[in-house]
Parts: sequence; C-alpha cells; structure tokens
Amino acid sequence: MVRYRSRLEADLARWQSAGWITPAHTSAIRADVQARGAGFGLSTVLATLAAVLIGFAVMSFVAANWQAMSKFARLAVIFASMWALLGTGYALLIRQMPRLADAAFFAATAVFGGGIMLIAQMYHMDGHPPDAVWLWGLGTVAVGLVLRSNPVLAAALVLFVVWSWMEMMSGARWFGTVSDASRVHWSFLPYWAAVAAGIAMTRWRSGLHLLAIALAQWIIASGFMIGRGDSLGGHSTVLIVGLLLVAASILAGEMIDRWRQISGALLNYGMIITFAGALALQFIVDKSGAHTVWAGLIALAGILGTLTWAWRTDNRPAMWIAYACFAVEVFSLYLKKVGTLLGTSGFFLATGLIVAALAYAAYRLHESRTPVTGVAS
Amino acid sequence: MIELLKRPVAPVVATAILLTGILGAMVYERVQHLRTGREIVLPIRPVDPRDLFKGDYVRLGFDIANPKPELLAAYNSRRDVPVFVLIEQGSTDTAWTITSVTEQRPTTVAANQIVLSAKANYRVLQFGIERYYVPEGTGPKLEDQARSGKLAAIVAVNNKGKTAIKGLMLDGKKIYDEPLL
Repeated sequence: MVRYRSRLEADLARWQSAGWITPAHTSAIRADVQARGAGFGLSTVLATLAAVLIGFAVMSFVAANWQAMSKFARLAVIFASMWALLGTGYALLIRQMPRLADAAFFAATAVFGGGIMLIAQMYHMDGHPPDAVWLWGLGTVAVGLVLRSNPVLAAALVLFVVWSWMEMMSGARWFGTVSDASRVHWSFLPYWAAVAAGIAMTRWRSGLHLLAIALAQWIIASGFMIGRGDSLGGHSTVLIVGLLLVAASILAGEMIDRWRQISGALLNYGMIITFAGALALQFIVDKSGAHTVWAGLIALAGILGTLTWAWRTDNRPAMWIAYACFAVEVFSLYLKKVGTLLGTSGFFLATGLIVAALAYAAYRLHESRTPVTGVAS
Repeated sequence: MIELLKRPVAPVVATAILLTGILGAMVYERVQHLRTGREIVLPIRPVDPRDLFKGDYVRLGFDIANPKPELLAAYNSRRDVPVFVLIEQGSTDTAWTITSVTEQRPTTVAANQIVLSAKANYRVLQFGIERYYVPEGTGPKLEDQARSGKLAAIVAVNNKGKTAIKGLMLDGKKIYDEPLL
C-alpha cells in the first residue's frame, strides 16, 4: 500500500502539471485512497510472526515432556494459553484491530494442535498419525467458520492437505489390495468444501486461489493414486478434467464472468491440470515411446493454442503458465528422445519451423488489422 | 472477513468451548479407559528408541505382537485388518500367550483369558501400545533395561478390548506409574 501510494503521488503530480487533473481532483483522489484503509500494516506482519513463534514454543514445550509438571499442570498451561489467545483476539476485535485479532486466533489454533499432541504424548497414544492432523484441522476449520477468519481458514486448508497426503502415502492405502477407485482419497473433498464454504462467506479472493491450488493438487495426486501412478485411466481422467475446465473457460467464459470473475483463473488451473495429466501420460505411461511423436505434437499444439487464447483474452498469468508448460514439455521430449537423438533433432527442427511460420502468420494478421498511422493504438 | 462479526462475544466463547471440548473429550476418554480397564502385565521385548519432534519415545515390542505364523495365515496379504486377539495367562502372571486371532469377537472367554483388539499387518499384530514417551534423554537407559529382559508394561484393557499403557514395571516393581491427571 505504501508503494502504491508513493507511485500514485508521483503520477498525480505528473498529471496535474500536464493539466489533465485539477488540484481539487488530486485532493479528492488522495482522500479516497486514504479512506480505503491500509493493506498490510507492519504490525500485522509482526503479529503473524509472533504467532508462529508462539506455536513453536508450544511444540517445544510438549516435546520436552517435562515431568516436573503434573499432567494436569501441563494441560492447564495449554488450556490457559488457548483461552488467553482467544481472549486477546476478542479484545483486539472490539478495538477495531481485525488483522491482529486474526493473528491471535491463528495462534490459538496452533496451541490447539499442540494440545492434541500433548495429550497423545501424555497418555502414550499410538494411534494412526493422520488422525491427529485431521482432528487439528477439524478444530481449526470450525474456528475459521465461526469467527470468519481468513488466516485460520487457510491454516485449516493446509492441515487438510497435509492430512490427505499422510493418508495417501500410508502403507495400507498405497500397497493394499484395494480397487483403484477406492485408493483415491475421496474423504478430502468434504473437508475442502467446508473450508470453501468459509472462504465463500468471507469473499476472500486470495483464498479462492488457495482452494484452487488445493483442489488441483488433489486431482493430480488422485491421478497417481489410481494404479499407483502408472494408469492410463487415471491420468486420462485428470487430463479430461483439466480440458473440461479449459473448455468451460473458452466457451462459456463471458457467462461465467457475469456470475464471478473467474474465467481467467479457470483457464489457468485447467491448463495446469491438463498439462500434468498429459505429462504423466507421455512420460510415465507411454514407456515404449511408441506415441511420443503424435502425443508431443498434440501437447505442443495445445500449449500454443492456449497461449494464443491467453493473449487474446489478455490473461497474463495464463501466458506465463503456457511458457512454463512449453519449456517443461520440450525439455521432457528432449530427455525422452523421439526415437533417436537424430530423430529428436528432426522433430524439434520441424516444430520450430512450423512455429516460426505461425509467428509470421500472426505478424501478417496483426499488420492487416492495424493500419500503420501516427496514432498509437 | 473477521470484521463481519457484529457481536464477537458469542462466536469467541463458542470457539473456546469447542476447542476445550475436543481436548477435554480426548483426556476424559483416556482417563476413563485407564481407570476402569482391566489391568494386565505384558513383558517388553526391546526395540529402538527414536527421537521425534514430539519428544523422545521408545518403541516397545511384545511377545504377543509376533505370534506364530499359522495364527496370522489368514491375514498375510492384507494390511491393517482389525482383529480380536484372545490371549491366555500361563503359569506366571506375565506369561500371556495367544490362543486365537479372529475377525469376529470371541464369545467364550475363560477367567484366565482376555480379548484384545489389534490390527493385523502382514505378520505382525499392532495393539496401539508400541510407543512410550519418556522425558528427554532417558530413552537409552530404558532401552537397556528392556534388553536385559526385566521390563514389563502395565496395560489397561477396556471392554472393547482396546489397550492403553498405564505404567512400566522393572523387576516386578512399578517404575513409571503415572497419575492419571
């Protein structure tokens, strides 16, 4: 916010001296920006760091397993810290300091997690480790929903993602003789939905990105869960899911934007998911390399097509994602080789010439559309 | 945003009650188990102590965790199968041996027998008592004592067959017998 303000001041001075705005306009703009309030204050950043430190203090306290204090006393420390942090959060709320209150409530959920671990340690509980993380996530998401606190909801999402990975990596699920469909960690979805409900309630845009990242990684991981990473069906499903998102963005983008401005993000996450599926299909499933040429061509064509669409819809992040996908695809093809090294060289030369031709075509199209005059377009 | 809360008292209090309740329920459930469960003593076979960020703990091994292969034959290719283990007390208080491992709870249990619930994992049974948290730095000493064969665990068994460690015995004397709270 500070940087934006200083840039704005410079711009206002320039526009005023150019005669485009009057001093009255300048003060009005300045007043409006002031009223909008600060973005991240330094105090918020420091408070968050303090919360993290307190969280680690609790963890170390638990780990020390200090026998000098009775079980009751150690529990009392946990409960007292939790209540103190909740009380502090409340006090900050009524003093109109919502960001600091968020930090206090976040710290309270960290202490809650520490409490679960303390109790497990005190009573020598040797349960299923993911369960502890799940329980911590459950408490955290409940707090996030009740208090409408975005940092707490984000923490809950992180906990559920960690829980999901612990469950997916657990021996019973990975090595057990279960059907492919049940190997996917479906239980993740209701908890993701709970956090999503909270973020929808608070209309937190960055939170939507967190949700999208969490769901995208779950989809891609599920593709690997099916058939233990080597399944045509699994990765194809991931590819198709991604393509559906991309298609929705391209075909129904305007309609979606009228509901919520997410068609751009839909394209981006759809691209990532599609590419992950395509990458797995090309380089993990297709071991013999029989399909490298046409699969590689389709992948590159798809990336170029998305790049073009991204340019047309002015979607900068999409263009960067497309560049990244292009680089990964080309490098992977290089490593896998299209038959022989000579064959690979031929492949890249051919595709390079095709893309050069496309570049020339794009240039001619642009030329024919914008007449070269003195006016900047 | 958190600013949407018009009157934060109720939500904050509700949060405190919820979190305290969850932790309290964990403690209550465990204390009840330890207080009311039937006590048995199982000799400990040594395993390795390990450091974790949760603190030092020792992994405990038990004779009953490694039954004769034929008892677990039905579960060899399966993982994490919930089973009931019927154990019988032998000539001494601590000489427990496994009579049967079944997925259905045994209906007839003699006076010198008890049913424990466990998970069958390939050739090993896991009862949930394989972990004992010790104060920082005391792990290796306990491991030595386990190796010399004189260590035993006092285990509380509740009516569902679930086990929980109440304390440790060395040479028949309680060395770690923790107060419930």
